[in-house]
Amino acid sequence: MARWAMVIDLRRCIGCQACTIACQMGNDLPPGMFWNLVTTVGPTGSYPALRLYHIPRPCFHCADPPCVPCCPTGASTQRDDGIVIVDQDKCIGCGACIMSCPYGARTRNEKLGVAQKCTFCVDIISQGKEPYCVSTCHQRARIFGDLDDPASEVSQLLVSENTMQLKPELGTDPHVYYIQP
Amino acid sequence: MSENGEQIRKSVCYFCHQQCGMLVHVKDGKVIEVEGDPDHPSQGGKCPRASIWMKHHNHPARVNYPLKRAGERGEGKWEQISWEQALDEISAKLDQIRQESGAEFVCSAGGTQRTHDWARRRFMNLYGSPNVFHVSHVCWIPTFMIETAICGWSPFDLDLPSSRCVVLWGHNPAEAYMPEMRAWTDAKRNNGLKIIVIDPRMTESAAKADLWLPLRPGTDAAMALAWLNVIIYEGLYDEEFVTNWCHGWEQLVEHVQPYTPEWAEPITWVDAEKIRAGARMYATNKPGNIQWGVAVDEIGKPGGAAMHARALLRAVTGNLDAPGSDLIPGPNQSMLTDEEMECNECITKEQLAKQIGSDRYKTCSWPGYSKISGVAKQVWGKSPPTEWMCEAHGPSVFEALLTGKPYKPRAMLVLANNTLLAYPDSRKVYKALKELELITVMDYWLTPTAMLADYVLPTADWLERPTLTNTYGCSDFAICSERAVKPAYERRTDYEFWKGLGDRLGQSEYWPWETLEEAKYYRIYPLGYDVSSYDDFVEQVRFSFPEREYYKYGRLGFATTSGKVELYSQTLEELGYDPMPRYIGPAENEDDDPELAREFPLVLIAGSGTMPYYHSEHRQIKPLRYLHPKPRMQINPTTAKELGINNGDWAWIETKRGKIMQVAELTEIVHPRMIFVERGWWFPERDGREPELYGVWQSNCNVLTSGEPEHCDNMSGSWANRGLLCRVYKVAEEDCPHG
Amino acid sequence: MIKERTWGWPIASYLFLGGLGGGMLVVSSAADLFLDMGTAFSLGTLVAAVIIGLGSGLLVFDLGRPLYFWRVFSKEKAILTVGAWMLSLAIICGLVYGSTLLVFSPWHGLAGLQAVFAWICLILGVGAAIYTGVFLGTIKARPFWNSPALPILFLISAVSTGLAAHSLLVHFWAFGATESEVTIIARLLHRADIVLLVVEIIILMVYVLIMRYSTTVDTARIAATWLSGSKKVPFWGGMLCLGLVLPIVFYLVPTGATLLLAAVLVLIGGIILRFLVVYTDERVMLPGEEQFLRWLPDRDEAFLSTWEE
Repeated sequence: MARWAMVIDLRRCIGCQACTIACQMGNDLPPGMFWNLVTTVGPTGSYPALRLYHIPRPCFHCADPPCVPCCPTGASTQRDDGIVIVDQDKCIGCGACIMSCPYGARTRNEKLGVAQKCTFCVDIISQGKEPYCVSTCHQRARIFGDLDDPASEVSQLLVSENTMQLKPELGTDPHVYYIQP
Repeated sequence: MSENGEQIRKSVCYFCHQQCGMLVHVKDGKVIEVEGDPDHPSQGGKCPRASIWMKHHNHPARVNYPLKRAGERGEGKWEQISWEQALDEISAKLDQIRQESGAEFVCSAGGTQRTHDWARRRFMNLYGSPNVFHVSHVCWIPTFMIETAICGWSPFDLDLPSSRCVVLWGHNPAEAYMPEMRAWTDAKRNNGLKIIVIDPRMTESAAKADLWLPLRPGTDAAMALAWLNVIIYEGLYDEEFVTNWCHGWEQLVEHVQPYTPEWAEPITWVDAEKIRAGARMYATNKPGNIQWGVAVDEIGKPGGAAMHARALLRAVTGNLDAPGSDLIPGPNQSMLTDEEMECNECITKEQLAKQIGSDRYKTCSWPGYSKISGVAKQVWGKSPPTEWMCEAHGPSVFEALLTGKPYKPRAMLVLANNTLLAYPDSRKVYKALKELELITVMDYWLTPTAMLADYVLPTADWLERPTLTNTYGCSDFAICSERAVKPAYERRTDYEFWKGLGDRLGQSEYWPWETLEEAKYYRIYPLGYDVSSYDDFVEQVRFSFPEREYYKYGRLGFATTSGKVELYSQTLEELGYDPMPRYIGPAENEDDDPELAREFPLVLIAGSGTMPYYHSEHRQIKPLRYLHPKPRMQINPTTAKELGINNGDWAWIETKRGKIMQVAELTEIVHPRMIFVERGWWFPERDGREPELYGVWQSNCNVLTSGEPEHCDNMSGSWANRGLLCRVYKVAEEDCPHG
Repeated sequence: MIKERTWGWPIASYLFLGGLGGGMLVVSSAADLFLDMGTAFSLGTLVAAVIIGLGSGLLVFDLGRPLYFWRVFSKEKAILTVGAWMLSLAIICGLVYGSTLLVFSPWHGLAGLQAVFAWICLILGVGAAIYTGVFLGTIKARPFWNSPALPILFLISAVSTGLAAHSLLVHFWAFGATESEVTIIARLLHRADIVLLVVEIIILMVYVLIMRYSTTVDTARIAATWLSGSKKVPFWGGMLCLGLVLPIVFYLVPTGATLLLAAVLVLIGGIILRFLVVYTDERVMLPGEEQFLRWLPDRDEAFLSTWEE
């Protein structure tokens, strides 16, 4: 059984939002709905001693996701491979999971009325392809793979690089790791 | 390739110049999916623009049928007509103008080469008009021509991964050329490549640099001259190369002596030590590259000197055509180049002499081109194309329309060019356009420029046309891509436009190819592959990269008058210009014009690219517009505080030419005395009729810029988008736009 | 759209109505079980059930897919699922219990029935009043809610509003109670409410101050909006003054008008509290996230509706 994770190299990300748009287009989202977005940090400092980097933010598919136990209909679940998904039939759009996510990864799809978020592209990874946000990136800043496979690029990067998670103090244990800029 | 009726076509996205490879999935004549092509040099990436292909391809506002103006100019009343009628009427008018006034009275304005420009030049040469122009004067061409004059062909080819240092000079690949940025990042990680960025702003590329030189806009000449000084006087030059392969070494040594880093410091606003560090880093981390960027082509008056000085840096360090350095590609020796398709022999010298602006700005017009390409042809056997390299000067054409000097053009054929947003001093351009008797515009959309046209013609997008990638006809390689689907509705490619006119104006024998594919097949045929059609070539072969040959100059010499790299340029001297670059200040600056600086104390940067747009495109693509709904100007927080401007406030930016408003973003990206404004803003959701014209006067940065002779580079005519002086103040509540 | 709130006035209103209804059930069942005054609260109990029903209606209205609301009655262990079952039971039991209290109902006085339902309604009342506070209090993502004190605050406020509502109803329609009995009941309710209001002031202030002086910068910043920032007027003026302090003052001046005004103000205070809490739903933003959202367009931007696609 795989354990899916993503490593995002903040040294490479240039903040172009290609991943944001690729995700929107690939998943046919209405404008204003973001399953992935890229924030910009800085430039911090004072001209010209400045620092600038970007943080792409998909759903983190946390190992201990707060958005699953709060779901009243059982629509929000976590698969054995770690991917957290929303059953669009069971979801009634109450918003509990949206409010529970500390990263703001979930939103309500206005057209469909259900909670949605990044799915690590479950439908296409089963065909052996990479998620849209990963394949679209010109800078190869996003790497997707199986943590249970020590030979996978993600596993190796976690060993060789200085990675971090966002808000680790909340105990969510995200499966998206950032290589520090 | 087909499975379950699905074809995969090998195409390229043409929303910008990188022309990233795309695999287009087609079923029943419709595009169902577009993927990045991992086998293409772009390695399968897709920027935000490529991903919205469907929104663009199917957008309800696309012009899909030929339109003829039905009311007054700018009234927005259109009559849908057939292509035949459009071509009949336009060609009749062109014929009439040629007979009454002369072929030179017809101009053509083009854009950033998403068109088949050899076809344009072919038609115009056969027709007899030399007055073709693009935005080439602010895009690579001035640099190309000066570099070609100096070393025989601009050395723009790269040779990663052996490179050890790259100078991104006025170039922001992290925002504008993303596959290239990937190459730099990979080289940095894998080979320890050093990246130097020379840019006033803390751009995305500067954020990834090892050394960032934040210079005052427009002072690149000073920076380059100071680098030459350091490299020469610290003995960091390539002795062997300058002794054996350079002409004018002693003159250059003496010439750059006063241009010390200490001299450059107050001009460039960069510490002398940092200037030194940059020069040393480039000269000692060999082989190295200097990667061109549009910025230096957009500083106007000092541009030529800056390009010139920058070009000499490669020579003095021996970073020319050596492994890992800047390689001189030369023309494509195997297939038919763009120049060979242009029918340049068909236009008379008398007509060429009438090229507007060529009397003053010679390097990118007939006088300079004929000299420079003449020498190039002797050595290489082929020359750069006239399209782009031998052009009329846009601002001079608009001046001619208003003053009648040297004569007043009567018609302009505009393709892939949003004239009201592309040239300096837009209000002047507007008045000039109104003087024309005939304006035809071929575009995806009813742009502000199209609203002033007499005929608007629907153009095919990149999914609907084949593309041959070869860097404006200046590369020795070719990447061939096929059309994914037939053009929808009545869209056509520009080739059909020119051929349609040509057939009606007695040029039929010169247009034997019915389709672009046939013409392209004719071009790639000499490569000698056993393919039956262009599409066949794309499927079977696709890439034609010649064997790399270093040190070609050992065999051929440099394609210059002396056969060597001309540190002292005889060609430029013959054209009446400085044979060696001397310092010239920015187009508007506080030293040369203190009065002006008192009124306009801030330094303006305009013209840089900003994701997710490209020039004036994509404002009507909702997902992209959603990410970036308003034009944003960048201002340092210290300056903004003095002016009482908060983050998100509308602010006026004003120069001597006029004023626009953009939303203020308070950021340390810019120096406290610099202001950055975005380019290309119009608002397709507004009323397109006069006087609104889609809000073209509200935030269009070219309302601020200048194409006046005193601001343009004397050599090339490149005009100033950067290094102008401006002032900023808050927009009053009642003047802020709504919604 | 991403900038906009997920939970707004329908949820805030439901929190008030659910708390009010639950509190009213607690008051009437407690009065019945410990003071044997159930009959006077018969109408109040029925009204409580209706109020909970109204609140639930708002919950359904706010759903993304309201027609599928019934899916919430699942076997999931989520707090909201338990809450949904509890609310439904509370409505039914409240109606049944209220009807047993009515003097003219056929099963009035049935031995044991009233007592059993009184206990059930007491428990369900507490449950309905407290469970939303428990749910919000466990959401680590929203630091201002994330406290064990939130459910306590909600419960106190719920019972307080319950007392106030009953005192209004009892004043107008106390079935089967004499004039003097009504006076005694009213006085009990007012005194109980004074105590609860004092407790509520303490808990509220402690709650906000602990948040305000949290070592987590963002929590402190969010709490500061109540004390000195964008929400200071509804907090100090609305919640504390109008909703808590003034009612105590008015309760202590026992004229007819002031007592009624006190009860109304307590109810208003209950509404303001729920709205303040729901609208303080800030999440600790990721680096750069605020800037990203700030530059996004508003819903009414022209380009969003210009072209049909």
